[in-house]
Formats: sequence, C-alpha cells, structure tokens
Amino acid sequence: MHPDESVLWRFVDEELSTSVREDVARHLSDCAGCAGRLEELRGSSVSITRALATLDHDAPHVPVDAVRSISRARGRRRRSLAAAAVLLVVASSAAAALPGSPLRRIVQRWLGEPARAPASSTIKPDQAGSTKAERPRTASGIAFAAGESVTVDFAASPVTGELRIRFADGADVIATGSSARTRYALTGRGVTVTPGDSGSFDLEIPRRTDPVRVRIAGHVVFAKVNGRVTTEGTRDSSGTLHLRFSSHQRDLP
Amino acid sequence: MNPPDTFEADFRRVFDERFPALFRYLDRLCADPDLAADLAQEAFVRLYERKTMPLEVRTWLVAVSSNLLRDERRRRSRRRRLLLGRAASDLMGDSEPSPDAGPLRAEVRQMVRAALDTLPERDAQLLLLREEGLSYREIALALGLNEVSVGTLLLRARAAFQTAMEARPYAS
Ligand SMILES: [Zn+2]
Repeated sequence: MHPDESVLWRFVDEELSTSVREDVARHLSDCAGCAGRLEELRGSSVSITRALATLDHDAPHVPVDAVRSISRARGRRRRSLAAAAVLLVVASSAAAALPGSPLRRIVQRWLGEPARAPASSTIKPDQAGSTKAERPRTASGIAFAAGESVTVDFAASPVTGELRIRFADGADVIATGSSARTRYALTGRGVTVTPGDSGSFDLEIPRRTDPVRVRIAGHVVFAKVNGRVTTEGTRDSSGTLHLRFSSHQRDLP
Repeated sequence: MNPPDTFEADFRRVFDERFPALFRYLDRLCADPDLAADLAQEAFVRLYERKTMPLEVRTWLVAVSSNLLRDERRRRSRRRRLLLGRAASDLMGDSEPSPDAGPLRAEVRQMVRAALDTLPERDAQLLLLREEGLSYREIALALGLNEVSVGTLLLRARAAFQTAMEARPYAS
C-alpha cells in the first residue's frame, strides 16, 4: 500500500518510528511514484525554508548581562516595595504617569530609606549593578530602563550641593539624592527631579545612551550628543563629572 | 533544583544558543524586529527569574514568548506605543533584511510576507517552529496541541503557504 502524504512528510521530517521508517524506505525503493512524490516534498521543504529566510533581520546584540540586570532590578524593586511601603504612593503615581512602556514601569525602582537603615546597607555595589567604590549616602532615588535618549531635569537648583554624573555599563538610568525630600517623576523623555533640599545628587547613565541632557532649572548643564560631551563640570580621575549647584546656572553654548 | 552557579552557566549557554533562533522565529511571526527583540529578551528575563531550567527549555521559551506576543497585541489594540523604551533599532542598526538586500529581494520578501500572512496564526506558528527544527512533539508542547494532530496540521499549513506563494508571480 502506498504511504499517504502525511506519512511521506513524516519521513522527510524524520518523525517516523524506526520500524515504520524501514517499511516506507522499502516501499520507496520499489515504487517510482512514491519516490517521486517524496522528492517533491523535499523540494517543497527546501523552498519553504528559502522563502522564509528572506524575512529575516539580523538578530540584535543583546548582552546576557542586560537580561540579568533587568531581572535583578525587578527583584530589587519587589524587595524595596515590601520594605518601604511609605514610598509606594509616590512610586505608583510616577508609574501611572509613565507613558507606554510596561518594561520601564516594571524596572523602575526606589532605592533606600534612610530613617530605617543607612544607605550603605541598602544599596550594595553588586546589587546596584555598579562598581562604584563608595556611593555617598543615598536617601532617595529612582532607576528606570534607559531609552535611546534621556533628559534629566532638575526642576530647581538647590542652593548648595553637587551633582555627580558617571557613565556605567548597565541598562538603567539611576538617579539618587542625599535628601529624602527629593521627588522623582518619570517623564516620556527621562526623569524630573524636584530637589526639595540642598545636597548631593548622583546620576548613573548607561554609556550607550545618547543623546543625554541634564538641565537645572531649565539650563543645560550637561549634554552628550553623538558621543560629544559638553559640560561646565569637571572630571575627576575616575571619570565622574562634578557640577556645583549654584543659583546662577548658565546655559551651555 | 540546580545550584545557583550551575544555573548561571546553563542560562548563559541557553541564551547564547537560543536567543538568535527565538528572535528569528518571533520576527518572522510578527513582522516587527523591534517587537521580536523585546519579546525574546523578555522571555529570557522570565527564564532568568525562574532560577531553574525547565525540562524543555526550547518549547518553554516559545510558549512564554507566544503568550507575551498575545498580551502585547491586546495592549496595542488600546495603545500604539512599543513594549520597550529602548527601541531595538538602537541595538540592531536598521531594519532592512540582513543579507544582500536588493530591490528584487525586497519584492520577494514582500511576497513571502503576504503569503505567510494569509495563514491563520497557529498555522504560521507550526510552519515557523518546524523551520526552527522543533520536533512534532515539541511543537505540540509549545503550542498546546495534541501531538497526534501536529503532522496533519503541519501538512495543511505547508500546503496553504505554498498555494499562497504560487498565487503570486514569484512562485518559482
Ligand atoms: Zn507507492
């Protein structure tokens, strides 16, 4: 008996049990009709493969560490939400204000709560995905998955204090501050920081994010466009940029 | 239970081996490389969060990303914005097809796309998963089908795809 088309396909797909496969092979050697049909199916299989291959794009270069850091960031966020219920109200309103991306919403997380524990125990360098040797005291902060570009807006200039900007290999923008009164709101382009108090602020920005703009009270104090950095800050030996806050921020040329 | 270091090593291996294939499958299926990249990445994030390897990691990844795609389509019917803030174009250069992209190739590609789009989604999935080398049993697992029916469904899907291709000038 001639095997039907589905059996022949199973033969092509190597989905037959050994005994059935042997039976079919025996038949094919005696039956030119079925052997011809089998060749047609093999031809179909090849042409389907070729056709579908025309649809392909190059796979993106996603580093395995990006996957790990997203996963860890979510874990951190779960832990910090459990630990710091007081921040939940602000966090959820920020999340609600976020347009579009659920991934950003999931990744964003809050760091630290000084009233209960010193920041050093809240953010360990390995947890933060950062190799920074000494992170200053952190009382508030936000982290979110970086877009292609990011704009960080300080709504007002603190009277005194410092802003430090560093570039890291991670996938998240991390903004932290020494004051617990500082508020962070995600915008479509990045984050708006309302300082609340004087103090120091740290910005960690993924290296590949470009363009980057940092503004204080509407004035651009840092810009990176096509890899070119313009800033009035000074760079220390570790590559971190330091900007002094003052009440007279000037726009960059 | 895998010890953590074994899982880390397994995860890296599976990621290196399977990410490009998962991306290719999803890209072919949804015709949107940015979305395919997001979905593939998200499936691996879920795998990493699982902390242990599923027995059938390949079918697990397909099943998870298929669910993510369905959710995303549901979301998109309400909202046009993409899944990730970081557009995949930043990761992948441009969205032209990879090798020797010429005008003829672009036409063929459109033809193939149109033919594939005539298939019901499940048939397209069957066809594409078979292309990725999944066995009938694995396809059944990934798509929640009865293994016995995969052969027949696949046969019909192939025939429908070929008929759709032949209905177009580039059938040869
Ligand atoms: Zn025969």
